[in-house]
Amino acid sequence: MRAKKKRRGVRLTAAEKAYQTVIYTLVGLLLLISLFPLVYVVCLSFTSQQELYARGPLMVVPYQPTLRAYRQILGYSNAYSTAFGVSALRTGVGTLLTTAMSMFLGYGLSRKDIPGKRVLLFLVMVTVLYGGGLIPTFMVVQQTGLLDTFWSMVIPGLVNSWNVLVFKQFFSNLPEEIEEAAYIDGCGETRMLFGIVMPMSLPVLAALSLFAAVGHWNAWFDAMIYIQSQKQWIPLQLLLHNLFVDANLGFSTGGIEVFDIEAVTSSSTSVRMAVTVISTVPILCVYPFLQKYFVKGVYVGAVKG
Amino acid sequence: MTTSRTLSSRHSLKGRLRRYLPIYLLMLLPFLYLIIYRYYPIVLQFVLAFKRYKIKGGIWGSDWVGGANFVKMFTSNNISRLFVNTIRISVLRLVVGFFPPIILSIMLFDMTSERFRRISQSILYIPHFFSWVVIYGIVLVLFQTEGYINNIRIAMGMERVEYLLLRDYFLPILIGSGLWKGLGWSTIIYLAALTSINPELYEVAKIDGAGPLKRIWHVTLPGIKSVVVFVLVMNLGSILSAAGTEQILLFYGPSNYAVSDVIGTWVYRQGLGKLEYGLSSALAMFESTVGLMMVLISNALARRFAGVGIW
Repeated sequence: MRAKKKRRGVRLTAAEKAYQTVIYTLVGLLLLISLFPLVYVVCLSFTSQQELYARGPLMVVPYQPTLRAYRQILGYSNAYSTAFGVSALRTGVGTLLTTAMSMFLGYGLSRKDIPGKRVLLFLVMVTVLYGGGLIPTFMVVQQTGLLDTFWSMVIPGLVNSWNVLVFKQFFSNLPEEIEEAAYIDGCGETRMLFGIVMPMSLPVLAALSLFAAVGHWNAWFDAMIYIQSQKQWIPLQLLLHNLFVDANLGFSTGGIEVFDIEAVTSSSTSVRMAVTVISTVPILCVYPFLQKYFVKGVYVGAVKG
Repeated sequence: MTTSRTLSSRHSLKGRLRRYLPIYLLMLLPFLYLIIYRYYPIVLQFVLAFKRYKIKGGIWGSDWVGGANFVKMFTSNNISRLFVNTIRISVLRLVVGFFPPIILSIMLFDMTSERFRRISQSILYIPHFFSWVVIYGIVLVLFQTEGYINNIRIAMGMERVEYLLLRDYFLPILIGSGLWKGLGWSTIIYLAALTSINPELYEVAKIDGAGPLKRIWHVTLPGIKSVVVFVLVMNLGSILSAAGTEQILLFYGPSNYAVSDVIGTWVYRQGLGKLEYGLSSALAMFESTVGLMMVLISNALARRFAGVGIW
């Protein structure tokens, strides 16, 4: 592709020049639209009230950036650091468990001669295609005693059936000769999985766990319905949600009030933006790794032929 | 294939069972999960859909009401509004979001500077990885009464507009912010198809003196046709599920329920909040069944017209 680009770039016709101008302008515009809100949010989190009053509400970049909002966040009880810890914990534990469980299932289903394969595969396929819905699932979570516990954010999504199928597909496409050779050497199925198949599957493992991690970090709806009275289990995204919704409506949203009401009423825009920034920093930290894998990951997931 | 046949014929059923015993053990927990947290809710859904749920009796002690929940679902104006809103939002999303990724991916692909293309891609993909809460926060600081857009309006001598409360602005803001979040990400599938087009075709087009538009029309578009058809058909399959409950729950409010309340948000607010378990389960059953049929149909169509299915 690079060769093609170079050759095309040697002598541009007038039409080609016009076309290039148009696409660079349009993509440039789109980049501006993508970046401005992000820059604005970051800037707001470093802006002091005084500067905002002095320079008027159209200002974007603060001339005297201040860390006050961030210091305030640390100052307010420990609602924010607790929530950050809960998010980190659910991301770590949730990602590890869900990836392991999906991989085990995917591996079993990828074995060509495992007895009962068709039935087991059918059982997984059904869960991809049909769901019980919010309320029946809520009742099961309630009946199994997960309500108001940390595990209500991990167990209800323990196995991602779609990822099971991706794993199965990937494992089935591994070269059979290696497995055959290991098999002849007397390698058992456990060692085959952990010693041979897993090391060959690191890219797909990395991709699926990164996506699972992002999903866990960004999740708030499950916590909103399952964490009702044990406020110490509120993850950061839900805390952020409560900050926005409560501050916007001016009242508590029936039962799902924020952990620390003090934190809401006295929170300025800069504090809320600072929490927003903090909640996205981990995503931005793994983004380069995500980028490395996601083209492959999505393609494996979307078109499996 | 031959190796696997020798593999399986080498062992009797009993031998294979013994060989795979550790794997069965590894699969036990995930399967237990599927039974308890995926299959049992389906059973509850089937039962609750035909009951009037009372907290006192629980699921099994509540009265059977036959098809009453379904009758209510199709006759009540409040509920039929949900169907209309769900389908309206889904269709709007799919229509508004269909062409921009195709156009953007062709523009990115045709850029002469590889470096600029890479940087653009990196920036355009980022919003996809932000949570809806963060997206809502961004929309707030831009569109609320004291938001940036209104500040610009004031500076230009115009009145403030309550973008987040007025019903007319709900759909544009919901769908616009959804597009803002997902546009870059949805180019990936097209870019993958574009890079697999044979470069010689472009050489031939160039020798033939084809301009950029002719090149797009005769080489690029035919090259991604099957992917476009695939995406289109898959979109059709998600017409009842693409409304996006999580986003709507953040963006909507009582002042715009007439256009914003969808099946998912109603089930959360009335079903879970006001204990309308029976009607909610009937809705879920309808939604899941129609969704299942749509996915099966669209997959069959995709196999037929695009040559690829999801399974």
